[in-house]
Amino acid sequence: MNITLTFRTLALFAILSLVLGVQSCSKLEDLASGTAVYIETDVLLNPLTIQIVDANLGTNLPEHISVEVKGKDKDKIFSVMGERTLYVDTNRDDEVAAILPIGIRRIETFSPENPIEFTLIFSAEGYMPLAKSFSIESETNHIETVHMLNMNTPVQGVSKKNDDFIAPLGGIHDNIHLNSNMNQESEMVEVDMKSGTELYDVSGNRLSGEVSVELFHYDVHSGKALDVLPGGIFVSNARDKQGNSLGATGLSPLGAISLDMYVGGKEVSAFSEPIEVTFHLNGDMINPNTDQKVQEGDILEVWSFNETIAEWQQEGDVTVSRNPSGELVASYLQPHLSTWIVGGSRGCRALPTRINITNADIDENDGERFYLTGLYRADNDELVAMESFRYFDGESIRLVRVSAFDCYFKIFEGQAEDCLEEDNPLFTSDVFETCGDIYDVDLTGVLSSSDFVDITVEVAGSCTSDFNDLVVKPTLPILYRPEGCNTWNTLGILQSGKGNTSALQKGEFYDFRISYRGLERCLLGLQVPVSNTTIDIDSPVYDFQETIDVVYSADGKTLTFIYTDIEVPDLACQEYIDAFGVGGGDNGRPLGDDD
Amino acid sequence: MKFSTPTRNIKALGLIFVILFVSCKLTEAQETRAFSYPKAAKPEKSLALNTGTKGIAGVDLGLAINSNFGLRIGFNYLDFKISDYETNFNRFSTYANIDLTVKQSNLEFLAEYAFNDGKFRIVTGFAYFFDNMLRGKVQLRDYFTLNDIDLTPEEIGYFQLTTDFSSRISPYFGIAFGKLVPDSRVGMSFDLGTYYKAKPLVEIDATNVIRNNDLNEDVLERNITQYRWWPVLSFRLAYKI
Repeated sequence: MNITLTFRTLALFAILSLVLGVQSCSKLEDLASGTAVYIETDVLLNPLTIQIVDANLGTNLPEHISVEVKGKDKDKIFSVMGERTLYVDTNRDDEVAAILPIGIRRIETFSPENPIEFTLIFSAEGYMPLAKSFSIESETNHIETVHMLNMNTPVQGVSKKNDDFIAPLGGIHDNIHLNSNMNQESEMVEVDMKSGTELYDVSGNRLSGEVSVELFHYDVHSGKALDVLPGGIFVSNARDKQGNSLGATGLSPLGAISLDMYVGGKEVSAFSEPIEVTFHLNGDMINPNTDQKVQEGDILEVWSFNETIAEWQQEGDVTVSRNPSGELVASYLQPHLSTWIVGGSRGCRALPTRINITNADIDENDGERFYLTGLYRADNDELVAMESFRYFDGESIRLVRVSAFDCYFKIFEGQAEDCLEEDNPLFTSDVFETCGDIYDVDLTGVLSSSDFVDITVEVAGSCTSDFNDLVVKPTLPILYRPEGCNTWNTLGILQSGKGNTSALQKGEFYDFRISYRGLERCLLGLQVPVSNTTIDIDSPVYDFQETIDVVYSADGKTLTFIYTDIEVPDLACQEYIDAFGVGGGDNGRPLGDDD
Repeated sequence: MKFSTPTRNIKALGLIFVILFVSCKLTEAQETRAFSYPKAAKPEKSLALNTGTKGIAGVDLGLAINSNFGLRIGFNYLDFKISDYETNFNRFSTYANIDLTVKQSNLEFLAEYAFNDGKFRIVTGFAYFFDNMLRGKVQLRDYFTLNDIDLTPEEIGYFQLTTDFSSRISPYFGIAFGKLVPDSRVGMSFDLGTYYKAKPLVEIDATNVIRNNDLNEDVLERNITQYRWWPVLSFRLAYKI
């Protein structure tokens, strides 16, 4: 369909009908003389951009990462080009981070009181499948980072144990005992299978042969380990023992395990007899159900992650006991394989926790700068989540929808997750509960930005008359990171070609990236000029050169770039038209041929 | 919303009165010289209904001061809205819905000079337009498919163009065929002429994917400025009173 052509012609028809009454057709062209067709790039809203990295930051990702959408609002999730299948953008110039922009239709309504909630399952060869819950409550784009666990090089805090045994038809001959390594907190997990146990695949078919086992034990004291726990610990929805929906839930595990078994390439799903799983618990751990140190006789919840629906399901309870060695243990029977945890949970039916910002130094209309913010557990100071916020006066932020433990947050000067000084934040908040409360934080005088350059950009690209004078004013987020860092942060968001950032420092080197479902550009190692100069931009893709004049204003820290007459190469115009389906009439003619 | 300025209105009114004054003086001078047009003992009057491009329906009061000179005061009703007019312009596979709003009702004051026994008249004057506004809103009629989504017309957005004029007063020039006051009880005549509209003021409202098309406002206003003649073809049914 030819949307640009249609709108132009319709508009002109309206003008003619109204103003001219009886004019010849040739006047239509005169009336349209000098006009352009302005088309936005954001057919869908892009309120969320997801950055995917290896949990060991700086490690190259596989080229293909697949994403599956689950959850109650899954039908509202698209690529920014309206595709039901989500595609992760990878870039040969930056193989350590993949980008996934999320698209939402403009007809969807959402708010803090009624967010769009969904879960994405990320899968890649050699990586542990990872399900993460997301919540969208406003149109403003924000970036979230997902850390995937390479099963061959687990991140610190994840213990991997490989084993194998023979499972003949009729069941295993001997009892099988598996165990993880003991971590620094003297915690571990043991798995026991009784002789005679038969193994089944997901369809209920009996499996026999050599069984390879992969056992992952997660150190629940480690934020990094919990971050890669399949299913995560902040979930949009969980189910009780009866399968009833509990809504947003925060989990606080005292033990966590992922156990996978394969027979001849087929995954073991269930057993004729449940296997016994025993967690060895540290006596200094806090029972989330009592807020006291865990002790013999405590009741802990047992949860399993249902990978089909990407939700946690409470399987039952377990009583903490002491083994013959006097160690605290929690032992339960597990009928099927997936990720299981023992611990506690907190469900909040109330609104998510909000933090209202007062900041006399930053106005919403000031240049954008997104401060990395870490959410930490109050009980062990472990980082549990990281996001970026602007912290302008009047901003209301949501760090986490619901958590099972009290938290505090730190705001950092650094602009990339792997390049910040965790021990030297700009601001550390008080501890707060994370179950629907509202807090006020005054950041006046805290977030200084005196040595940053204030950059205003206005860009618009015009296609030639062969493409009906199409003018594209992009709306999309631009990512950046200091050179040498691996994770991206938001530099600013272009809105109809206009943007304003104050995130860059004079003389520093940065990488820049745009990832917008197929529109993939990466510029590495650009220095912010220290004085007036010119920069020649050569497109690596198109026949396109542009000379940018960098002229500082009198204050020496303000730059303005207005390039609204960029001649877009025909190839780029054609690609845009092809992508958005705005080219050619119904007879396939090029735009502009509307006589 | 843009309003015409009082200064412009006053100037336009002044221009109209000058035209009328000159017409009257010209008439008097001709009468003085020729002595060939006997004054009517009493001005004849007509009450008329009309329809045409200056009004869906109109009513006027005609006053023949003498056999050559006449005056008309009338009201023309031209307020209407057309909703959801569907068209593909006979060429596209996609249809659009067009909403048209026209508010051009006016009060007109005309002076006439008659020839040929009053059957042919030269007419001039002005009209005061009450709202003086034209608006067209265009939106796709059907869904627009972008990959796996059928986007609603609302999601794509609409384009709305509103034209006001810098003055509510427009001069009128034209000719008329048929008598202002019919010889018999009822008579037919018609007007052919044009209003000269004031400078158009264009306002564009566009949303969503096409929201930045308001940047065409200045260009369109400049282009439309060339087209300020509002053609008038009007049929008049008069009743002699």
